[in-house]
Amino acid sequence: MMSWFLFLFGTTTTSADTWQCPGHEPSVSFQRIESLESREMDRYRGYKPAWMALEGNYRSTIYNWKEEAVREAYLEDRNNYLDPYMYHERIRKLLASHGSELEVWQIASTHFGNPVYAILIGDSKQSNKPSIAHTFTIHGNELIGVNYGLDAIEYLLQADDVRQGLLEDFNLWFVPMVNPDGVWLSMRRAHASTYGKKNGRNTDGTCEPYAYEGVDISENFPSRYPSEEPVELESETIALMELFDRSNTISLLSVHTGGNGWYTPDLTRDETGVLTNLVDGFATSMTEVLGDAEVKRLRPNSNLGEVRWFFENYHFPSFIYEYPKDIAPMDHLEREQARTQTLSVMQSYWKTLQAKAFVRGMVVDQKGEAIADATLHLPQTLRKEFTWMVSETGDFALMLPSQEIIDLKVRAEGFVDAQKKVDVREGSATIRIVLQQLEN
Amino acid sequence: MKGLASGLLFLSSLIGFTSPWAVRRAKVDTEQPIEMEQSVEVIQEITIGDEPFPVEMVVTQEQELQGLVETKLPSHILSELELYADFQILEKGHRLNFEYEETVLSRITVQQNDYERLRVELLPEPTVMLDTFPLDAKSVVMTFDKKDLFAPDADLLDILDAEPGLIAVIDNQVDIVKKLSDQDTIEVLAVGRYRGDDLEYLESVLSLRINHDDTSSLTFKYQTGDGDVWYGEDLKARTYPFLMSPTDYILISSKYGVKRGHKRHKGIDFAADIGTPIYAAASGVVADAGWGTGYGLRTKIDHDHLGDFTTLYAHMSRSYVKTGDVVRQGQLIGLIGNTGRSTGPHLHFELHKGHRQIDPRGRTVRDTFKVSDIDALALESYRDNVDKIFVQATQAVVDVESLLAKRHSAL
Repeated sequence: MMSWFLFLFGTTTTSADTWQCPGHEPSVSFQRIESLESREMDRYRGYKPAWMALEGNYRSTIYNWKEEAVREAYLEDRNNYLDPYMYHERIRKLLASHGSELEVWQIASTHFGNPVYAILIGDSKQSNKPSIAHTFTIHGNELIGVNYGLDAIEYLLQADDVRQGLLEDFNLWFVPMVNPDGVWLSMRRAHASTYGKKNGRNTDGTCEPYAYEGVDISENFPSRYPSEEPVELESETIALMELFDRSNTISLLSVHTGGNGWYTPDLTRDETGVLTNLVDGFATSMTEVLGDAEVKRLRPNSNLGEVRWFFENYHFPSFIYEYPKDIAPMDHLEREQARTQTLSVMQSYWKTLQAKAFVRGMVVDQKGEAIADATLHLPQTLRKEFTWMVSETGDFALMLPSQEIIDLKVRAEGFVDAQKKVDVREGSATIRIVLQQLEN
Repeated sequence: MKGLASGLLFLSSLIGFTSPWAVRRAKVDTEQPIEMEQSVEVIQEITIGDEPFPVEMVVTQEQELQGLVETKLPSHILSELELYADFQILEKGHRLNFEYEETVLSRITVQQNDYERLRVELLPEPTVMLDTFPLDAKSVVMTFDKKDLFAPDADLLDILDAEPGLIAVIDNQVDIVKKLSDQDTIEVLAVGRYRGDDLEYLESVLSLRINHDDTSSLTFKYQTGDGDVWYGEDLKARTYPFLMSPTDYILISSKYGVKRGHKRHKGIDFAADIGTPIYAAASGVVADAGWGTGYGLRTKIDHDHLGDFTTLYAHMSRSYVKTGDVVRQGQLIGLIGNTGRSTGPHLHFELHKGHRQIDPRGRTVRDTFKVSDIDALALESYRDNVDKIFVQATQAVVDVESLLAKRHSAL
């Protein structure tokens, strides 16, 4: 009797702070994956079977997913949309075939129990090396984003010279499917474009198996205004923030679809002009490949929170690239074009990055011990400046707008303020900053 | 070649801290020109392995830094030193210090004044740093009137740069658009950073004295747990960040919340003649400038630094800003008109928090900027202190370090 009661009404949670329905608990934990097993597909997990939303070949594939030939055939076509299980299968294959060139990290687990993978081309042990982060499919309904991310990884694995060139300066992180729950729901919903961008959180506490209102991860980043209500962060969001932090990220490219534009963060508060030069420099260098894409600054309160938050916290460039205008579904020819275009934009972005000036270094005291709470500033005028933090091990990496001699100001509590002239006319420099303790 | 070698040896001996070999050779060479020896004076030295090494020396005659240190530094550090142009030529009185770790030279510092010091760290990897010490904090007093507030000159712009909310602070005391008269003055006490007697830049504003209608009142900034907060002479916080009157109105023809048919009025109507200037209620970025249904010619300004606030100015006859412009508080943004759904010339002014209109003069907005109570006695004593220093600073430039220190210790 009791079980019937539960079946009819579900288990309800009334408290607003326990949105999570019984079952899987989302979590954030970084662990490197050495090898992956195939996942067994649970094709009924958390969705309302709106069959009309499913593509014919996808529908037949999931029904015959256990057959290897079916799996192979579906994954072989790079224009096919991928759900989290299929994506997992692609990652598994990449790891098996290119395990020496890439690292796969699980950075979070979602409400539906889907893993969020971050793929590193580079070496995670080189922790002081700056990273370039790429995120895709933050909005679950932008299905083609997963393909963009995997395309970029596969391209770099093939193009040895491009990869080696980039690896000299950076580690490259990719999160091809930030929002697996959203993708899963989107592939099953008749109105994917309306609801599907959000993740799998049940926000009304009813825990009905198909009524996942979800949270838009892109809008889930911490608020910039102290006067606003604090945002309850999702595991996907926390994992991204943690990834940027750990990997010493100095540029973020977030790829969306549903528009045709290259969007840069709001720069009205950059009175120094340093970051404006840096950020605008990208669009200028990439004019050719961006074609008729709209180049635009995001509004200060833009809901594309990942680039806003990243930019405001780290003061490094972050960009949105959106292409094409259709979200989903597109026909295969359109998908092919979109993939080609997006890959060429990414290639151009990497080239532009390599042409920038970089400073890497360490801040230590006179005994040679790292100063973890030091801040770096690029003074343009006497008062207006941006601040960068050094890492816990005293390391830092900065991207600069132009190749010239710059004055880098360094501050740390208990030490005399110092300045250092850094010569980046050659493109990059490695420096050692030694601060002197304040004498009382 | 021989001459060059002996010249280098001489230089080494002059500084006396190169290899003992060089020092010994130089000692026996007595035929060197005497005037060069006078270019530095060794004040203090130590003995390492029977040889004297300088610890401190003073330049007695103008000369190049490179000449003094080139034998001691690797070539890449010498070229890095060249980047510090101000330190290339040393003048009389400049000091050099040398530090040793056991028998090895570990650090050279060059000091020209109290504010900068060039430092070459030699161990374990050589690097060059420029230590900077704070400039002196001294008072700056400036006086402005109403006209200046709406058309700021370079001095006032500097002050507004240092204290972007200053106009709102004045407006909290006296409504600057509606009540401040042309004869009223505002004195500003600011912290200037001085290099000796020269003012380098304005750092922050400490206090204001508003002379309005034969009365003079002090307003001052005080550091609290909520950050810097402005207080009036009555020790009440002055935190409302918007102008009370964004235009010089004749009357308020409709308040916020007044019933109009089945709807309520979601703004304040300031009635005034066509062509009366409209000022930005707070600094921000123009989010939208153009025509809106019913609103006529209207401008929307985002005030992100205050939180999720936006102001809207409607029925204008002229607009002087465009979308994306950054505007200052009190900046002229347009003129009163009668455009859109309007029955007479007026400014329809709205304040939005998020996507909802709120009463610009209501409780919600005031509560947002409310600050917690603080120790009234400490605040009072700080006020009296500021008052005293303000009076002194009006006569002459005074040291404000003590005031700043007190402000910090009050936390």
